[in-house]
Parts: sequence; C-alpha cells; structure tokens
Amino acid sequence: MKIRWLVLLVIVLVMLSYLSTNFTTLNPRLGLWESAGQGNLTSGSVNIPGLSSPVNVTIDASGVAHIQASNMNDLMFAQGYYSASQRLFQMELEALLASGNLSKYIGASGVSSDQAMRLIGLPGNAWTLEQAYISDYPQYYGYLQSYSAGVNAYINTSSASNHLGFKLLGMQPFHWTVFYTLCWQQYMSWSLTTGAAEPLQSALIYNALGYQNATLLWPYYPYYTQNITMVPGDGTVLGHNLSQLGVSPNQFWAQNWYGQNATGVNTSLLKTMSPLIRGALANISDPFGMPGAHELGSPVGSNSWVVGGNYTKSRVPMMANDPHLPLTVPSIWIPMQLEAPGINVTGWDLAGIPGILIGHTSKTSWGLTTPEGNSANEYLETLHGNSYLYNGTWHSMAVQNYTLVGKSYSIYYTNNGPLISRNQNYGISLNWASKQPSFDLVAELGLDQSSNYSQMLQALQIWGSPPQNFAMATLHHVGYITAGFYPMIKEVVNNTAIDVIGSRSLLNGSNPAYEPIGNVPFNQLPQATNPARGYMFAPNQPTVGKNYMHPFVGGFWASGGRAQTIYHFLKGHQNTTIQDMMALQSNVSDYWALMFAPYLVNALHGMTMNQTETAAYNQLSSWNYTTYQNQVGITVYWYLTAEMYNMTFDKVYSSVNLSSVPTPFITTAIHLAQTNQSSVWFHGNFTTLVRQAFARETTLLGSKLGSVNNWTWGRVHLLEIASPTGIAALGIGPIPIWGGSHTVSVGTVPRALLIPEPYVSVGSSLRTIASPGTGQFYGVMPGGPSENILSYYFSNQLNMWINHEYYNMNDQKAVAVIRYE
Amino acid sequence: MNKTFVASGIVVSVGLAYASLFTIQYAFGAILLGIPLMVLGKKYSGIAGFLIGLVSSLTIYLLYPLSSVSELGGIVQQIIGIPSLALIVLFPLMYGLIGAVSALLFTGIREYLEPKAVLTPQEETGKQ
Repeated sequence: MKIRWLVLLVIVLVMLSYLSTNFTTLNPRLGLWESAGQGNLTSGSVNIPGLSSPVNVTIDASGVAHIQASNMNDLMFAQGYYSASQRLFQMELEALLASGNLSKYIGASGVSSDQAMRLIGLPGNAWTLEQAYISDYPQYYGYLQSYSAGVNAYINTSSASNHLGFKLLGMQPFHWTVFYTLCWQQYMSWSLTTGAAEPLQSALIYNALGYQNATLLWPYYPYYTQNITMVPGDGTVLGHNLSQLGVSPNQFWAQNWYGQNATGVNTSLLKTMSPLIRGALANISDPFGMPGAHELGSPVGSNSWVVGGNYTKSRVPMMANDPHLPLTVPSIWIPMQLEAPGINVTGWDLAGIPGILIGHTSKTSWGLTTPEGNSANEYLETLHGNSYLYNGTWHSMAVQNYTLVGKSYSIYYTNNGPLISRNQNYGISLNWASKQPSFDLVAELGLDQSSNYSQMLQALQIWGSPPQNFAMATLHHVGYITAGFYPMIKEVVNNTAIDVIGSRSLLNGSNPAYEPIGNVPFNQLPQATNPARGYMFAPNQPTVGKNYMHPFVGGFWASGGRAQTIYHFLKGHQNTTIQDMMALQSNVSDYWALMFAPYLVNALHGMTMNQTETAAYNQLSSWNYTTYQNQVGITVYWYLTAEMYNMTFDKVYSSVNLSSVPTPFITTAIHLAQTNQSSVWFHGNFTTLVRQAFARETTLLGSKLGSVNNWTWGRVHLLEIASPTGIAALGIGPIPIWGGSHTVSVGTVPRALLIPEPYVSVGSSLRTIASPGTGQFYGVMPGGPSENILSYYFSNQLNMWINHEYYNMNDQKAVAVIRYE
Repeated sequence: MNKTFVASGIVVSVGLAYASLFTIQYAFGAILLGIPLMVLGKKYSGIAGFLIGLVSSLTIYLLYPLSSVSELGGIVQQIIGIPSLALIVLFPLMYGLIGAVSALLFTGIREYLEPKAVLTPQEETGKQ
C-alpha cells in the first residue's frame, strides 16, 4: 500500500474517531442503554460495606419495600441505600435545586433558581440546622450520617451512574452528605410555608383596590367557613380564647389589619411600594419550584380527617389523609416499612430524608396537611447605603457573597432576615421561622416509634417548620394539633395587647413593636382531642375559629369547598366504615358548584337561546355537581364561571396592574350572587352578566368541541404527571381525569379560557386510610417506588390511584427478598 | 499466512472488540480490534473489521431485555427526534466503520513495512 493511502486512512480514522465522540451516550455497554438493564427488583444478596449486620429488604406485590434491620443505624443506612437505588437521580437533582447549586450542572438556566434558593436562605438554614443537630441531638445526627453513608454506599456501586437521568444529562452522581438531606427538608418546608408571598400579594390588592374591596375579595375568614374549622367550636382551645383577654371576636375582626395601626407602615407610603413588592415576589419565586405554592388560594393543599370510636361502626378510631402536591414521576414519596428493635413503621418517606413522614405503627397513625397560617412575615426596611434603620439607630447590614457561573452576587441582611427586594432607600426583608433550627427528624422518628396518643403529642412538641396540621388516630383516641413555629406579633386592640399570628401586609421593620416576640407555646396551638361530635377534618380551611386567643391575621386559608364536602359527608355517616372513608376520599362532587349553579341556572332561565345554548343549559340544569370525565355539566359550569371571571375580576385586575395576582375564590362570586346581584363587580346586573358569559362560552366550546354532547370534562380536563427534568417523554399523560379545584379527590385546574384547560399538575400525591384499632391500613400513590421509566415499579400503582382503589398494606405477597450484607 | 494465524487474529480481534466495549466509552475503542486483523490481507481485513465491530456491539444489546431496549429507544426518540432504530444501530455502525478503517490501516502499515521480496507465494495469496 502506498504511503498516501496510509495517510488518507489515518486522516479518515481521526475524523471518524472525532465524530464518534458525539455518540458515547449510545454506547450499548457504557451508554444509556445500560439503564435498560436496571428494570426490576429481584431476589438476591448485595454486599454493602458499612453495615454492622445483615438487613433484609422484602419487596411486596404493591412495590412497598419492607426493610428489617437489627439496629437503628443499620436501618437508616439501609433506608439510604434502598432510597438511592430507586431514586438517586431524583435525590441529587433535588439536592442541587435546594442547595442553590443547580447552575453548576445545568449552567446559566439554573442561575435564577439558585439565586432564589440562596436569597430565601435554604442552604444557610440547612447549615445552621446541621450544626444544631451536632450539638443538641448527636444521636439523631448519627442517624442522618448513617442514611448518608447508605446513599454513598450505593453511589459507590457501578449501578449508580446508570440511572437514566445521569446518562441523559451526562452527569455523574456526587457524594451525598447530611447537608443535602437538610437542604431538601428546608425546600419542602419553604414549599409549604404560608406567609412568604401571600402578604405581599394581599398588600398589592389593598394598594390597588382599597380596604373594602380587599376584604370583600379576600375576607380574613373565607366565606362560608366559620362553622367548619379544624378545631370544632368558636376558637376556644383547651379552655382559652380571645374573649377572655377582653376583646370580642367581632371587635377584633372589625379592625383594618392592612392599615397603619396594624402594620406600623404609613398607608400612603405603602401605596408607593407596589413596584418594590412586585420585585420581592419575583426574587423569591423559583422557576423550578412547586407551581402556585406561595399564592393566595394556593393549589398546594391536602385533605385529612379523623373519626372517633364514638362515631365508627367498628367503635375504634380511623384516619384518612391525602396530601395535595405537584404530581411528578417519580413521586416525592417512597413507600416503605422500617423495622428494627424499637421501631416498626409503615408509610411514605420523602426521597432524600430518613424516617417515615406519613404512616402508621400497629397502634398509631398520622397524616399531615398545611394549615395556611403565616410562619413567615415580610418587613419594610428603611435603608441608607449598606445600613438599615432600627429603633431609631442605623445598623450595618450583614452581607454574604457568592459566585454562580463566574458572576458574583451578594445578599444583604437586616435583623429581620435577607433583603429580598430593594429600591433606593427602601427594601423588603423576609423573616421566615425556618431560620430557627427545626428538628423535624426527631419529631418524625418520635411518631415512627410511637405506640399511643401522648407519645405522638410529645414527639410533635419538637416539630418546627413548616407548621402542619397533624391528624392522629390511635387505638382509643383521635385528634389534631397544628404543630410548628408560629411567630407571634404583639398588636393592640381597644388598649388590649393581643399576640397575633402573621399580618396581611408589610410590617414596619424599623419599629421594634412589630418584631416577633416568640412562637406560640405548644399548649396554645390549635388542637383538640376526641371531639364530642365524633369527627374532625383539616383540608386547609381555617384551623380555628375567630375567638382563638392568637388570631391568625396572617391566615390565607383555602376556600373550604373540600371541607364542606367532608363535613356534610361525615355528618351524615354515623357508624362510619372503612368503605365510607374510601368513598369520601374518592368524592368528586363540587360543593361550591352545588351552591352556585342554581343561581346561574336561575339567571339563564327565560333567556332566548339557540340550539347549542339550549342543549348546554339543559346539561347545566340537570347536572349533579360531580366531575367525572364523562360529565358535560361540569364543563358548561366551569367555562361559564371562567367567562364571568374574565369579564369581571380579570378585567379589573388587569386595569390596576394586578394580573399576576390570583383572582378571588368562587365563593366571592357566590357571596355576591346571594347578597348583592347589582354589585359593581357584576357590572350592576348579575343576570345580564351570566347571560353574556353563557353566550360567549357556548360559542367557544361549540367552535372547539362541536356539539354539546361532546363537551365532556375528560376532553378539557387532563392530567399530566411530569418528570422533574422537564422532559415530556419521561412523564405520564396527558390522561383525561376526574375532579376539580374544590373536589375532595382533587384535580386542580386554573380558571382559564383554554381548550383543553392547562393540565392538572397538582393532586393527591398519596392516599392513606388507617384504623390502628382494627389493624386495617390502606394506601395508594400515583406512581411507584422506582424512578426508572422502564421498571414495572415506575408506575405500578397509577391505575389503582386513578380508579380510586387501594392496596391493603397488611396483606401484600412478597415478590422479592434482597439481603444487604 | 496460515489459517491458524488468521483465525487467531480474528479471535483476538473479537476479544479486543468486546474488551473495548466494556471499558472504553468512545467508539474509537474499535481501533484496537483492527490491530490483530492486520494478519488478514487488505481485501478481507476491512470487511472483517466492520463485521466484528458491528456484530460485537450489536450483541451487547442481548445483555438487556430487548423490550426494554425498544422502549428506551422510543423514549429517547421522543427526546431527541432520531428514530429509535437509528439510535440503536448508530453506535454499532460507527464502531464497525472505525474497526474497518483501523484494520485497513494496520494491514497497510504491515504491508508497507514488510518487504515484498520476503513474501512467499502462499503468503501473497493469503494477503489477497
């Protein structure tokens, strides 16, 4: 062969080799295809350095892992190893997100998220919490370390880098530490914190529309919720109430809680602060965070209820819980049982955090919902250069510098917390209760090891952030407590000092009178045990009545539609059974529609209608208020109210630069329809408004969906369970789905004039029903334990979840036994 | 070259092809499989290099459930827009192509360095 041919071959070889570097991901052995070999869990043994004695992991037919260890540290280690084996990519992605390090892996597109996480203080709080664990709870810090060691033991295996997410993004797993676990705890805490954005949004409404309209659109207690609070009664807790302090509830709630007397901020000055407030809202919003988590009327909520032994057919207590969170595949939850001497608990843990957060032992069960009262407050700060004014004196702001993608950033701190927005000589600081060390793992493991009611209450004394409504049922007791840090602010009403929770607007950061004076003591938190009426419930409605001794001025509750359905169902179901509990958890009736639709039908009655309008009217007037996929009545109702809002609230909001702020609950429209049909919000005539909206919606739906019989809810109301990567191919859906924003079995959707509506992305992230007294425990989740899209366990429980069916968690056959040794 | 020598070259090449697939992420690992194929004549070394590269990398897929490979191909197709079959055969084709060029190159080098005068007629025949 001639030399020139050899040279040519060398050149071709070099070119091909260079070209081939683009195809490394497709290498059949070392590329993404290896993920295809990581399907299902099979029996066998795994050698894991770091365990002191062998651990058995039994996988049952529903995909629940039952981990049995001979001591607590091995149990935590094995939980970390198993969790990583199922969810390592998810855990690491979430750790990067929560620690403000996303941009290190995904570049500039992660910068705004990282800035928000650092500004809010997630990594800083996690670091503080870790130091506090080391000094105050070394035993529990040891558990956290064991969990991390288990995660790292898995990372050290060859399987770790084969998780599809790593392959697709070209990432390698990084070493796990306790810090990442605590960052994720902080992230979850932040996502479920009330008071982060709500006072800012309500301040914008107050500035734009005034006090009368602010309280009309967002009353302190939502309409129709006064008699359906979590704690039954007027607000008296353990014998104490507001009236005993010398202020009647009527006096207290007649105050303007937006005004200068309540906040210390001059109303005229506040009106000029709207741009600053909008800046703060933008700066603390995370583009990758839970959608709508920090909004007035947030879709992130939950259901829970308990029924006492005096009200059940079995004469023993029962509990139900389904937390409404963004639905993702993989889920944020992993179902499992943890068993070792002193602990035997089954339920769901948050991937990346040890222990079981929602679950049951053989004698106790518990669930969580979000109480929607402020555990964060925002302060208006007076600034000059790098100093802030406090109590008449200028103080230097602390500063923290950091670098992202080669660019430097700074965070400034006043005594209240980080400055989340600044405009010349004014700024807004965030005072979030989670900056106090919150030893939630200690509380969680206390629940996991509990065997009676008092042990559960004792464990919850340690719970800090975020405050949660804990539903509890044991062999003999049921009850609730809203546990956690609620900072109190001293207000004065009729010359009487009242320690209230939160605010409706910005507080004066320069005046010490508005500083938090401590947290609500545990025995004064909203709570009740064994209610005489036999049941309690906490689906994000007001936790306690208006006579509560620490009024929730910063209470940004849900509309109460789910609470109404639960209340009326339980009221009519004395001798409640497990099947009743399941039926209630599966309920897709819209209580607010039941109240509002008759007004709409009445307004349309007598209207001159074309054929389509007549057919739509017939559907609406004969609708039974359920929201199944094949229903047409809900579609007519939903788009009719959407058109009404578009013609009224949306229009006004837009005209006063409030488009980014949520419009009021449907209950405001119901209230006005009941009390003032000639309201300016209805353009002076409710009937005319309804008829105009009806004509518009029938034209819209007819043009998009054809004849009225085709206007089924399932065509416009679709579920998408997204991948945290944002890659559509790694998600599930869209699937026609039941439910609405106010149904117990929820299918939250924004009120938009789109066909289909934006996909449902928030819903019941798990469902559980427990009756420790009869040993009955049921559960289901929309997915499975694995993050591997090729695994059976990726979505093995999804169909059961969609069909409102349950796994009997006590009666599942073992399908694989894995021995860690 | 005698048949044993040629067979040995092919066996070693197959071994190197698999070794490379299990240890080197890049397709240019196929350069290794071409080296022992220099014992073949230039007429066959290129074909042998291509086939060994293509078949060895395709057989790797047998390590996994084929339904999972197909499903994963479908998912990746949705992400990057390349048909799943192309995704599956792209690396093996590239691996085979590099193996072929490598084999031709090393055969050429051997021929270039090896004086023709010392070749026996049998070897000359084998080379062809």
